[in-house]
Amino acid sequence: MVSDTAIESGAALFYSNSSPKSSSKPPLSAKKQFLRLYLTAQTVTLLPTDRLKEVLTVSTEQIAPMPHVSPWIMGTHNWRGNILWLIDFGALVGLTPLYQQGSSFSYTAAILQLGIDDGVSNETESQAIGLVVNRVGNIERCSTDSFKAVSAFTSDTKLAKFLQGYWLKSEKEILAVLEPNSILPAIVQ
Amino acid sequence: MITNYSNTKPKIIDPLHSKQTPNRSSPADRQMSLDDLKSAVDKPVVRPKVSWRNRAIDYWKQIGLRRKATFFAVTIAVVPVAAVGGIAHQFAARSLSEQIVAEQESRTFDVAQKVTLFTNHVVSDANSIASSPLLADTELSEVVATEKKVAMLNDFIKEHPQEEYESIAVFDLNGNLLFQSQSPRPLDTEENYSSHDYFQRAISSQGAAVNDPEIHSQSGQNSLAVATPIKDSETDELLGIVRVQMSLDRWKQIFQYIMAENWEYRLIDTEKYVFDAAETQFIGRPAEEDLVKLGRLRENMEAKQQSKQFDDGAIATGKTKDQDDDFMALASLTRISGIEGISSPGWEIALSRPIKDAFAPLRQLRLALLVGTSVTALIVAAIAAEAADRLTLPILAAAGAVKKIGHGELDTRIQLQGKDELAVLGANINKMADKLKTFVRYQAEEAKRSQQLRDLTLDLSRTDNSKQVFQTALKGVLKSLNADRAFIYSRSPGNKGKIVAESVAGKSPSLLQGKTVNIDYLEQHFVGDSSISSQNVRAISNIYLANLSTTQIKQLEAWDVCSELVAPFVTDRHGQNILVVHQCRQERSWQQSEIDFFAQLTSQLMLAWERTNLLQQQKAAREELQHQALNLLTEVEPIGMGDLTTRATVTEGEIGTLADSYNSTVESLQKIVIQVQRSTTQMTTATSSNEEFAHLLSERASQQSEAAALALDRIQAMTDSVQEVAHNTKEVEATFQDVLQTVANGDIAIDRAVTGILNIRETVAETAKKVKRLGESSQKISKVVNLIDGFASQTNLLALNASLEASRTGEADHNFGIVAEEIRTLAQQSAEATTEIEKIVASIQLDTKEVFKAMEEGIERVAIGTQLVNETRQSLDHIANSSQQVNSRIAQIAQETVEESIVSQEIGRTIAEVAAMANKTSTDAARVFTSTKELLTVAEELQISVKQFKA
Repeated sequence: MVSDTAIESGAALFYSNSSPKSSSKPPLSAKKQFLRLYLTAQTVTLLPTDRLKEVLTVSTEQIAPMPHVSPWIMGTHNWRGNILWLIDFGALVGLTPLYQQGSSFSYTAAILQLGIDDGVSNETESQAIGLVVNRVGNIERCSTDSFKAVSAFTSDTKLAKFLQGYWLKSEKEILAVLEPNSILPAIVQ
Repeated sequence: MITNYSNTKPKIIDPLHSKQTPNRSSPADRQMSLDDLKSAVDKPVVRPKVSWRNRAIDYWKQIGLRRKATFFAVTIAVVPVAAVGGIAHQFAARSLSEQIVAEQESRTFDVAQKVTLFTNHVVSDANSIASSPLLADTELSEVVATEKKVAMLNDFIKEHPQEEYESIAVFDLNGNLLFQSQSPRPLDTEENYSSHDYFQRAISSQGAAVNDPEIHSQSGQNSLAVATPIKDSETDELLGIVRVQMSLDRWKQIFQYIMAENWEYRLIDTEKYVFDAAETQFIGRPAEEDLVKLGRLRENMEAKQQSKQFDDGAIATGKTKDQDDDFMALASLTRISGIEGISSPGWEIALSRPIKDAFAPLRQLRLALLVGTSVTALIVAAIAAEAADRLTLPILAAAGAVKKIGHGELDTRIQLQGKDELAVLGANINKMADKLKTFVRYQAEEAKRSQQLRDLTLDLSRTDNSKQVFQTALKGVLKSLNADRAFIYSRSPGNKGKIVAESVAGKSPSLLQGKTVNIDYLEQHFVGDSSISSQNVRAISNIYLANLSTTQIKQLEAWDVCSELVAPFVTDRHGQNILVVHQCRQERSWQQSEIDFFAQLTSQLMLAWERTNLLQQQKAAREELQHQALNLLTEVEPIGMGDLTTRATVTEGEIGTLADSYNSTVESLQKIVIQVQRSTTQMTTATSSNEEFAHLLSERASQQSEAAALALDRIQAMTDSVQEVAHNTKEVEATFQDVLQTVANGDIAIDRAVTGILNIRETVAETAKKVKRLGESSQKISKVVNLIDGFASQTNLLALNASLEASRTGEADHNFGIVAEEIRTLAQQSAEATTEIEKIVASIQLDTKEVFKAMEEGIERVAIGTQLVNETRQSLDHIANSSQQVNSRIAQIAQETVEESIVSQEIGRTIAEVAAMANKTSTDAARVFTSTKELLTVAEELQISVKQFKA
């Protein structure tokens, strides 16, 4: 556990699609913050925190199941008056679904604020969705520059299309970094 | 009258009384004296226990004849008169009573009839009003004004002044008043009359109806009301009701004339209440309050009605008490019939009058009969009493005379009148008095003679020789009979007779002195046989008239004898005597009493003669006996000196017999002495040989005593050994007691062990409970730990969110992000710590369970241990019981040994007694020896003394 605690890593590239100008910012800002998500007990991914609204615990009775939807949509949740769609992210990426990972009365959901580009208007509509995972870990800080390309490690796993790259944190640990923008299209399909 | 009579002759009553009783007594009683009879009569009166009936009979017996006769006469005279009077009264009274009752009943009927007529008159008036066209014709009625109709009613009242109608009113069928006549008491126009009983009856019967006269509350007066229906003259339809009312004052006139005769009347309505009466205070109250037995009268009346099958005329009459006036009254009750329109059963009328008024004639009759009968009875009684008195007078006179005779006045005589039975009775009484007089004289003479005889007998008993006897007797005879000469002629068989004694009075010649020895004429009296009794007295009043031979007469003439009494008597077997009394120179007729006296004297003389003879014989015999006894004493004198060979001379007579028996006694004595001498010699020899035997016996006894002592020693040794055994047994017993004690101690120890084990079990159970509680506590801890864990994860999440927020705000809050991160780290650490604690708690729980299991095993072990201890204890109990039994056996043995010891001691004592006996035998033998020696000495001495006798 100690090893998972936040480390002051030396070089971390700041990555941003919407604002490429920010690359000119001082190296301190080049480092971005990521949250560890455990899709299963073994599969660990990093999610950038800039699009993350909140992490919360949702008990099963607070989830209203929806009929005639994809199996990885768990249902809706009343999140501060808004309808929040909860998605079994593990199932979405082709891993073991949560209901097979042992019974639990509550799940941990990371709420992601995603913009939807309908292509007609320039305005981007903001849509929040809840990624339900096994558990969340610490916040990692690293530079986006140190990321390795996806192809370097995997070929065509289902997970690969949600990734922006891998981060070699140490010799032992290689962490997959999720691309938040890739999630919404997968859901909408 | 009766008392006057008895006062004039009071003395007659007593003799009558005494005369009456002897007549009723038995013949034997008649011989008793009159005084005895009197006391005999008095006795029953004194006797205490007599019933009233006996007492009455006694009283009746005591009443004088005159009273009884008077009583009978008066009773016979008065009773029929009284009976006739009584019967006449009975018949007259009955017919008179019936007459009175009949009169009252007819009066009652009469009054009832009048009431009927009166009421019917009113009813017919009412009917006539109802049928008047003004009311009955519908058409006319409608035309005519009401005023006219009222006027018609007023006219009607005026036309009938006698009836004094109070009011006439017309109602419709519903009871509402239509109009009414003038009236001193007008009806209330608002009042509805349909509720009245008679009103309803009038409608329902379509005829007249009379009320039960009711009391007007205001005036308190009764009034009679009649209701009649108005019918349409053509259709007979009911149009209305006419009501006629009149005061009962008018009614009272009916009863005036009976009330004038002190009668009372009561009119009773159908409810049995009085609605009119002479005594107005009873109006409106039940009739029984005045006449108590009216109910019974009513029952009688109804019974008559039913039995005789007629409605009219049933009447009941009876006596009852008038409550109000408080006297008995004769009351009649009947039903008033024949009135139209009264509700059934109709009215009743009761008439009553005081009994004393009703039955006044009866009382007068009774008085007249009583006076008449009494006067007649008195007169008849007076006549009867006088007649009875007259008839009893002669009887009373006779009774008085008899009483005087009874008192000794023997000269009393009764005057004789006429020749009836009473006169005969009187004559007989006179005769009886004469006889009594003669008897009394005889009795006096007899008494004198017997006195003389008694004196003479006394004199004779004092004499002691025959001469004197004869002299005394002869003197006595002369004196008593007043005769001239008396002598006794005696003759022995074979010899010639001679005069042995003579006594002469006055100058009569003495035969003895004249030496005239032979008196032939007396010889014929000696029949030669001793059977002549002294009763054979020959009495000769005149010698010439007594069939005597001439020689005899001559001899007697020679002695101047005129009359003679001769009586033979026997003195002894051979001698015969004759007692002769002569009356000289004068003839004398001997009275029977004199002859009897003479005979008695003769027998007394004979007795005296025999007695004197006997005395002389006895004297001679006594002297002879004395002489013989003296001779005998002289002869037997040597025997006293020891000479047993001497013998007495045996003579004839008593003394001879004595001498003979004396001789035989001496002879026996002689034989005995010889025998004794022989025996003494033998005894001396025998005693000498006995001495040796006694000695031997003494020795043997000593030996026996020694043997007994030896046996005693042996027995003592045996007793000692038995006691030893007893002692040993006791020791064994003590040892066993120790064993028992040990066993008991073991038992106690086991008890203690059991208690210890039980304590252990309790402690283990306690511990188990505590361990259990520990498990519960650790569970609580794990709960708290879970809670803390929850907090930690919550904190972790919050910290994460905080750091996310921080990162979004940018670099400015970088430090905040670090802090949040640190908080998160801390939360993770605390979560780890809780996980650690959970593990520890789980391990504690596991341990606790193991401890608990171990505890249960321990408890089980303890239970097994307890059981084992109990088994051990049972075995110990067995041992204790067995030891107890052994102990009791030993105790028994000990007791038996003791008993044995006692028995052996007793044997020892018995043998000691035997030894003592043997000793005593030895001593006795020695004594026998000594005695034998003494006996020898005595025998020798005896021999010497016996030798002194000469045999």
